[in-house]
Amino acid sequence: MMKLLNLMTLALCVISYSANADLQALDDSELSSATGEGLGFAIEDFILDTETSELAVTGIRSSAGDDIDIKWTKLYVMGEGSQSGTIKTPGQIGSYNHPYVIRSVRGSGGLDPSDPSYDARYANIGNDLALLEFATDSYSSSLQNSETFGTFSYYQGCIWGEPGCDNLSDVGSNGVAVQDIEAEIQVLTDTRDQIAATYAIHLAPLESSIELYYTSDIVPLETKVQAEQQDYDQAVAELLVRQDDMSDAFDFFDQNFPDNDCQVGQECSNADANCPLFGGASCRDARDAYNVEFGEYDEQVGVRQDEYNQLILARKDLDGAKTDPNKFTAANGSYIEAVENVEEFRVLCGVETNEFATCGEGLIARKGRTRDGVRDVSLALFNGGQRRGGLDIGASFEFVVDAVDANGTSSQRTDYIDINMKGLFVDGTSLRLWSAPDEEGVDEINAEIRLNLFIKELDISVCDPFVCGADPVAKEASTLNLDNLFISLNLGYGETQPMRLSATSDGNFQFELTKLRPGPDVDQNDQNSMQAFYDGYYENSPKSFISISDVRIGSGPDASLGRTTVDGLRAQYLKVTSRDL
Amino acid sequence: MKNVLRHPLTIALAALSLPVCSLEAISDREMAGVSGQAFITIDASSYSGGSGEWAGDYEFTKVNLGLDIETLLTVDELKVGEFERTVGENGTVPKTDENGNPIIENGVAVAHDADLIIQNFGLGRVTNYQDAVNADIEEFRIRDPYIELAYKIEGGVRKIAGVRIGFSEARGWLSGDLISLTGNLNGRIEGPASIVYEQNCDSAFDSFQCFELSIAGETQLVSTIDLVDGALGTAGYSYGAGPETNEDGEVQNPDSPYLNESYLKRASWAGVPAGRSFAAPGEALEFIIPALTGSENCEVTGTPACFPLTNFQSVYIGNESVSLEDGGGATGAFISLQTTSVPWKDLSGVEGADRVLTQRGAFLNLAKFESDNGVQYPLNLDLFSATNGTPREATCVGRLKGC
Repeated sequence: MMKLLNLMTLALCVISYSANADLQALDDSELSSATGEGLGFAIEDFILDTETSELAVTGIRSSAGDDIDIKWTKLYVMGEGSQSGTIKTPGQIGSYNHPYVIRSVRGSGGLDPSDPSYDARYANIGNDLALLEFATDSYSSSLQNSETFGTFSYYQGCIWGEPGCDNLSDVGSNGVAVQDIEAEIQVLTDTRDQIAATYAIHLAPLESSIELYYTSDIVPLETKVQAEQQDYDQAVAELLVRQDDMSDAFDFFDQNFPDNDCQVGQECSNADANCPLFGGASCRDARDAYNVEFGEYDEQVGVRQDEYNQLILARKDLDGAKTDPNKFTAANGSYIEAVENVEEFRVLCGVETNEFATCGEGLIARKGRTRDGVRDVSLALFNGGQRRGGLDIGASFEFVVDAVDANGTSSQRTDYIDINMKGLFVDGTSLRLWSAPDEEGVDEINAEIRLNLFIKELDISVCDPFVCGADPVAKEASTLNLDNLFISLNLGYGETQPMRLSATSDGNFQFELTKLRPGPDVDQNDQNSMQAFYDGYYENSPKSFISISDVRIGSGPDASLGRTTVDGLRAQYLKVTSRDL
Repeated sequence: MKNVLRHPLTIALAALSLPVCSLEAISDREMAGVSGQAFITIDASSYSGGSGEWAGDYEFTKVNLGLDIETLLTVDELKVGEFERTVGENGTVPKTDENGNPIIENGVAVAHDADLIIQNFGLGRVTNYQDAVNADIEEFRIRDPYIELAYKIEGGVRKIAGVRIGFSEARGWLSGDLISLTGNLNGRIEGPASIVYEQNCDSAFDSFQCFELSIAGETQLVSTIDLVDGALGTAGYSYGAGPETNEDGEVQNPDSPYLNESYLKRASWAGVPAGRSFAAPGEALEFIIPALTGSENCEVTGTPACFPLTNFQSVYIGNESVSLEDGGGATGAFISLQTTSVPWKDLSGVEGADRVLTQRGAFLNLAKFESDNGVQYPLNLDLFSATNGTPREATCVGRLKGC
C-alpha cells in the first residue's frame, strides 16, 4: 500500500499566544472590552511526501478546446537540505517562540499612539472594526528576518553558505553587499547634490517661481499654440474641400475635352486647354470653371501656409519659453530644466522638504533603511551568526498537449516540469480580513495581504525524466536556476485602499485594489487636505519588491543572466476580472 | 491504477469544498454537464524553420489567462538582465551622457549594466494631477495576459531557453525614464519638408538640396524610428541594427558595425538610423524625397535625427482614439528573458511578421502592430517636437512621478 501522507513526526503545538493557564470566566462587561489575543501554533519536524502517488488535474483546455491531461506526479514539503526531496529531512513551520498566529483584533485607526490599545500595524483600520488576522512567524533580528536577509542576498550576489559564498572577508560592516548598496546610494546622493548645487535659491521659492512662470508665460503660449493649431487644422480642412472641388471641376473638363494638355493643380491656359476656336464655348466654360476652383484652391494653399507659419512661430515661442535659460530668470538654467530637477529632487528626497539642504522621506531615505538592514545582516554573519533552516518544497507535473508546428500540423507531445525550491521562508507574512460597507453601503469582506517569500534557490527542469533521470549532468545543464528569489508583495492599505474579492453577475471572479478612499477626517473639497491625504498614502503605504540575485541555466561561461529586480512597485489601482477565453 | 482519491491533495481540495449550507447533491448526469470557467488555456507549439543561431528545434508552451486588467501602477526601478556585456559585441552599444559622449572607464567604452533599466516606470496616468480634489485615474488596460516558456532541444535533452510575459491586447500610457533598452522600440516620425528646409536653409539657393526642399514645401515626409547608437565619435554612431536598403534593395549602411545584428543591446538613443531615408508616399515628389533625406551622422539634411530615450517620457501603447473594445489595443508587446537565442512567435498581426528573433539576455518588444486603422506605432513624433521629446504623463497626484 502506498504511503499517502508520511508524517515522521507531527507535533502540533497549540500555544495560547499571550495568556497563561488557569482560565477563569469573564463577565459580560469584561468580555465586551476584550479583544482576541489569538491562537499561536507551530508544526515541528514536519514531512509531507506523496512519493509515487499521482493526482489528475482536469478541466484545463487548449485555445482550440482540446482537453489537456495534467498529472501532478510529485509533491513534497521537507526541511532544508532534503536534496530535492530525496532525503527525508524534517522541516519546521513556526516554533514555540515564533509561532504562526490566528487572532482577532480591533483596528487602531483613530486611537492616540499613546493609547495602550494602539498598534501601528492596524493604524489604517478604524477602531470600530474588528479584523481577523492570520500571520506567519516573525523576527526582529535582521539575520532571521527573511525580508532583510533576502535583500542582503540580492546585493551579496550568491547563496550565502554555499561553497564559494561563505568567506567571512566578504561580509561585515563593509562587505560586498554593503559596498554594492552604498554605491547605489552614492549615485542617488550625487544626483541630489548636483541638483542642489545648480540653484542658489531654496526649493520652495524655486517651486513658486516655476508655478508663477508657468501661469504668466507658459500658459498663454500654450493657449496660443492651441489656437494656432485649430486655425491650421481648419485651413487644412478647407483646403481639402477646395481640392476636391478643383479635382471634380478638372475631371469634368478633362473627361469632356480630353484633347487638353492641362494638369490638375495648375492653372489651365487657353493654349493648353485646346478648346476649338469655333463651337468651343462649353469647353471654355468648363476650363474657366476649373480655373475658378483652382484659384480658390491656390488661395487656400497660401492661407494654409500662413497658418502653418504662425503655428510654427507659436510653437517656437513656446519651446523657447521652456528651454531658453535667459527667459526663466528666477534661477540657473531653463524652465524645463528646473521642472525636471525639482521632480527628480522630490523623487529622491520626498515632498515634505522645502529646501535643497535637507532630504526627507524619498528614495534616498528608503535606500538608506535598506542599507541599514543589509549591514545588520552582513555584520551578524561576520560575527558568526547562523540563520535557521527553511523548507524544501518540490512538485512535478506532466502535460500531454497537442503541439502545433509552423505549418499548422498538430502532434501530441508530453511536457514535463519539475520544480524544486530549496530553502523557502515566509516569515513576516500576514492576511487581514474585515467587513466594511462598500460604496453602496453593502457589507463586504475587505482584506490586506503582506506576503514575504524568500527562496534561496528555485530550480525548474523541463527535461524528460526518462532522459535526465539517469543523467544528472544533462539535467543540471538543462535546469533553470533562480538564486535568492525574494518577493515582498504588499496588497491593500487598510481602509484607504482595501483589497476585495468578489464575483460579477455573470459568474466571473473579480479582484480589486480599490481607488484611494479618503476617510471622514479628510475634507474632500479642500486642495490642501486632499493633497496631504495623497502624500500620506505615498509616504506610508508599503511598496512591493521582487528580486533575483542570479538567473542562469547550467554552469557555462554564458550561463548567467545576472540580477533582476522590480524595485518599489505600487498599484494605486488594480482591478482584475476573469473572462472566458 | 493509482489511488488518486487518497492523495492528500485530493483530501485537501475536498475539505475546501465541504458544504456549508443546505446544498443538494446533483446527479452524475448533471455533473457531467458542468464545466469550469475557461479562463486558463494552455497552447503548445513547435518551430524548426529558423536559420543561423535560431536554427534547431524549439518547443513552446503558452499559458493564456482570460483576464481583463485595469491598473495605475508604478515601479521605482525596473532592472532586468544585469550581467556583463562588452561594447561592440553582439550589438552592445556604448553608454553615453545626455549629449551623446561615450562613457569611458579605464580607457574603454562601457555599456549600461543591465539590458533593461527603466526608472519611474508607470502604467496608466493621473489626469488633473495638480488638482488633488479633481484628480482622477486613467487606467492602463490589459486583456488576456500570457506567460510562455520556450524550450530548445539539444542532443535529445530539452532545456528552458526563455520565458516571456505579454498581453493579447494593451492600451494606455506607459511612462518611464528609459535608461537602457534592449529590443524593439518602433516609432514613426513625420512632418512637412518645410521644417527641414527652415531648419537648414537660409534660401532656396543655398544648395541643390535646399532648392529641392523649397519646392517640396508642405510635402509630408514620413520615416520610422528605431533604437540607434548615439555615442558620438564611435564606429557605430548613428547606426541601427541590420541593413538599411533602398527601393532597389541596395544596402545603404555597409559600414555599420551592427549590419548583422537583429537588434541593439543596452541602447539609450532612438532615431532614424544612418542609411534610412524619409519617404513621401503618394506625394508628387515621392521619388525625389528619399535622395534628399537620407539619415547620416544622426542628421537628416542637417535636422537632428537621433534623440536620447529619456526624452520620450511617455508613450501611448495602442490607438488612443479607438477603445480597447473596438480594437484600439496594441498587440504583440512583451518582455522576455532568454538563456539562448529564441525565435518567439510574432503576435503583432502585422502582415508578413513571423518571428521575433531574440538572443541571450532580456528583451522588450514595443513594436509596431496592426489595428483596424492599419499599422500603428507606439512612438509617434513630428519633426518639430522630436528634439523636445514627449513629456511625462503624471502617475501621481501632486507630482509627475516618484510616488
